Amino acid sequence: MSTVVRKTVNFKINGKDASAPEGTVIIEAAKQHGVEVTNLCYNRKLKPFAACRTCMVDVRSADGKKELVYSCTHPVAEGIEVFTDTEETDRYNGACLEMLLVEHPLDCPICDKSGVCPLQDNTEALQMSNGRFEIQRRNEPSDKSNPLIEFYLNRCILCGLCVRACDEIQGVQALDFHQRGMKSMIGTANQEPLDCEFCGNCITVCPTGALMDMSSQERGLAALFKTNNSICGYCSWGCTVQMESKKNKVTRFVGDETPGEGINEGNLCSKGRFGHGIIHNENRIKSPLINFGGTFKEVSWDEAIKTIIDRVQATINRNGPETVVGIGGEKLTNEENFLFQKLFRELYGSNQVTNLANMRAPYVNQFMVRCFENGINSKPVTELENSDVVLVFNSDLPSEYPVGGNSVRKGTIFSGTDVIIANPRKVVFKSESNIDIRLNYSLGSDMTVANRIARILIDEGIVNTANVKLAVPNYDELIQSLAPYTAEAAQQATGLSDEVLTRAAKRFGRTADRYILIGNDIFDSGQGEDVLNALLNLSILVHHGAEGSVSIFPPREHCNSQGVNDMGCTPDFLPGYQPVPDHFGTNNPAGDLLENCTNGTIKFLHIAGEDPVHSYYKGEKIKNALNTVPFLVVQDVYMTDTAKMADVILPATTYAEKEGSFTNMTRHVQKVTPATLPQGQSRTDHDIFTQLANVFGKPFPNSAVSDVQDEISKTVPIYNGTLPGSKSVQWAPDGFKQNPGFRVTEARQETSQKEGFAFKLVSNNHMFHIGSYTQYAKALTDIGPDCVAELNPEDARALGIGDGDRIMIESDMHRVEVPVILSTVTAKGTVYVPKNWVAVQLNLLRNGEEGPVSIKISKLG
Amino acid sequence: MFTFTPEDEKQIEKIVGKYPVKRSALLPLLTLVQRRDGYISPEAMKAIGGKLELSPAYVQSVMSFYTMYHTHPTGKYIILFCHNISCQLNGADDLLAYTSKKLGIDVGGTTKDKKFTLHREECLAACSGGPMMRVNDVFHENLTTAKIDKILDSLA
Ligand code: SF4
Ligand code: SF4
Ligand code: SF4
Ligand code: FES
Ligand code: FES
Repeated sequence: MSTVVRKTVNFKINGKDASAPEGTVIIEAAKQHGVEVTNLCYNRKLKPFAACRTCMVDVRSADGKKELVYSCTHPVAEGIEVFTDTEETDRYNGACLEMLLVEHPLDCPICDKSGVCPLQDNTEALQMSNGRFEIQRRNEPSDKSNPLIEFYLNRCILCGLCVRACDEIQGVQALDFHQRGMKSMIGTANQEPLDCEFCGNCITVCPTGALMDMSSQERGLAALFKTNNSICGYCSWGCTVQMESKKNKVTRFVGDETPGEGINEGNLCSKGRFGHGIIHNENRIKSPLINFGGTFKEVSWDEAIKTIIDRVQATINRNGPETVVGIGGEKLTNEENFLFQKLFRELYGSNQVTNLANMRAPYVNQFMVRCFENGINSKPVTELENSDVVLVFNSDLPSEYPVGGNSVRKGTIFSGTDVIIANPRKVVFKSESNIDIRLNYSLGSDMTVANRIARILIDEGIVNTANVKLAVPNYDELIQSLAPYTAEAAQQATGLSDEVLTRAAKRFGRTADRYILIGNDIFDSGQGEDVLNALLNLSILVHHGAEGSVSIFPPREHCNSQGVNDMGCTPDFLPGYQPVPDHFGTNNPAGDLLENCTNGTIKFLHIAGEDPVHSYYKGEKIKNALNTVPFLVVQDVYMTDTAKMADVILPATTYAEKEGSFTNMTRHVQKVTPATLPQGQSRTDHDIFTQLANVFGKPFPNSAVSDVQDEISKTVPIYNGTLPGSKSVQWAPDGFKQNPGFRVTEARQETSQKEGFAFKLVSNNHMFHIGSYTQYAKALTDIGPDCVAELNPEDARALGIGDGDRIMIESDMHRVEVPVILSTVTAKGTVYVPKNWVAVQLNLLRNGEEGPVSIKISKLG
Repeated sequence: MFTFTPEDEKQIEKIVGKYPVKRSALLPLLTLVQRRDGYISPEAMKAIGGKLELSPAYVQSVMSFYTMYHTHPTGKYIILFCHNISCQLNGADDLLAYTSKKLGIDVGGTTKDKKFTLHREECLAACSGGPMMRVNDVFHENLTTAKIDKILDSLA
């Protein structure tokens, strides 16, 4: 809850006692007490609007005065009595609906919305079967000028929900009303083809079939589809998606706005909604494959599994168990990752399991644990919309955690959330916040920004330092470490005036429920660990020295990047961050996996659902490592560049074909359910691990998903009570010792410019893509087909580069060619390139460079 | 390509400064552009939106609500001919038809020499003087065919 307390008011609904916080609109209060009021333009995520006039209720004030009011805009008040569904309100509400039906085509038998249509439901509720008016239907052709959303506006009832969702939830304003009176209609500017963020949230909120999802071949009445709720398989925000399928074929994904369902209130982003093209896809790996001297031959599952196990056994016997290494999957379920580490630890006898995120930044888990040790447990992310201030640290929310952006925007409207955005790019984030502070700092100065704010909190007395000192033993150490962060030094390093930093500090420090959302970009700053420490220190300061609360989460990229670590796919921890028993010894080849593959220590490597050749930041080195390791197993859905290097390839399934749970970046454990059976010969990762155990001769005693969940609940204390995940519970950090302390790091030199390389590379996931696997989703390549770099117009002018020109980008390791657009979002001296195109290998440009990559650019003829 | 002149920029700064929220300056900016160019092009909507942090769709929605903003190039003189009740009862329809014929254009059209644009307009609040028309900023009341001839012929 926000620190601003709202009074509770008491009233009656249809004779029954009820209560709600002051300011709640009647329709919402009624819903909370189980009373539905007819309505067509109300949505609890949006500001009251009152366009449809079908939600009228009868209100008697405490002194008996009667009023007919619109329940979607009228707040409850102390002592009122509300009557819904009276003869009178039905008559009024019905009349308004009747007018809408004059124009509406009533082509329900061929409408995608049929069966889940509020217009149908309300017509039914008000029993409006016989209209009194002459029917005057509009008959405009449907508009399919963009690849994903069909506009069939004859069905539009001008409720404005799409316009408001696009503006208020998404911050885009791609749609609006045009004209007025009889001519009013919604549309894009100048009726140009829709060109927007393609979140599809306008489709979700539309109460009719006026806006429709065209991403699927299979269209048709929603009522005829089978549905199951599951968790999006893309980013780490963890949105609930409703999967619709027909005859075992996934047809489309929709948002489920049922209150309390998941963490996203039915909001989705382009990937989550339209990215289902990876499920039924011609290009999937069709059969287990074994590499015979450079050519892959299709083999049976039995043969593939036996080949792997023979090799594992031989390797263990000859070289010892720790030479057998596994990379768990950030897109595998918790149960699968649990089985994977169990396979290694309990069956193979090797503690050598890891994951790509942990390989790059092992300190992220440490950071999380330190938050707990300092008593900072962080609130559920469902409370984000009630927060007072959100610090978005080096994250381009609309691309990185788009639905996180939706919650923040909702907070700015309903809770007065203030927003502080710290980013070296001038990222676009539109919201209705009253206070919107932009810290547009110089690339690579992340740590300085956080440390300067910490110092201002102390120097200006914004936090109660006496309390902090009492609570945290090494307070003096922090003070010393902050000494170099003077106003001048900070300005020099970050390019930010102390005035704006002070504004941010003041807003962050004053009584508030605070959230800090951190982007994965900090890893490219070369100071990931220090940045996390600085943000931890900042959090500790307000945790002890200011009123309110602070919630801070480690940055995670993929749908189960959190869970893969929770489940112990790291050599540092058993599942649940429990210590690794001594019997595994201290030999830890997975700790430096690349080096130990290349030098021959690691003999066997099993990669579960990852494509490090494309995604790992040491592009050339990972290739060498995988080339050298004597035996490589890759299980995946697609023939990635990593799979192409394997000795054995196993076809796995997508998230829509499996059961289990994912844990999102804010630690909510959520249930994954299948929409369809494993396609072709593919098997779930779960089944693959079970079979490996069988053939290894030590079958898992209980291997059904529910059995594994029972085992996790018993052996992983933090997961106790969270599974199977239908309630989206956030796991609580029980059992971490209390050990308050700041993490102090030396001030560091900012990385210097390399001779001859005038620019720095900035890259992250494109708004419509994540990793390399969204490239298989047709809808997403339709809206985001090309890798396009971004360059600041001033730099472009100096180099004679124009919008749309092709440029060459070179580091001292590699070069790529891309078209470029000019944009002031990208700071001078930097080039932004999205990292999702297999043909544009940015990890080769980077090749292990920890900080911003030095590059040069030139125009191609 | 649409651009604001330095003079426009100065004006815009002044106008925007008058309001607590930028968005409120939308109507004055639309008016500024229309006075300069006679109409508001799609590029102009984008540019205005850019100044006020509003999307082109939003700008168009506000603009298209008002019939007095023009989306297509207009002539030097824009004639807004009232056709509401007082003017109509006093013969506005016939006079509008007469004007239309005299100029050789349909209502909504612009003469080939780009001199006149003719529009039908809702009540312009000069009912006591109806029938009436507005030519650019000037109201002409108690119209007759002869008066219309005189007015139009007098315009260079
Ligand atoms: S898809 Fe999203 S961004 Fe595009 S118009 Fe709809 S709500 Fe707006
Ligand atoms: S398209 Fe749908 S959501 Fe948008 S105004 Fe029309 S009926 Fe409402
Ligand atoms: S925000 Fe992330 S989890 Fe949510 S729909 Fe988009 S990709 Fe999926
Ligand atoms: S829901 Fe209240 S007016 Fe539409
Ligand atoms: S009716 Fe013509 S000016 Fe009012």
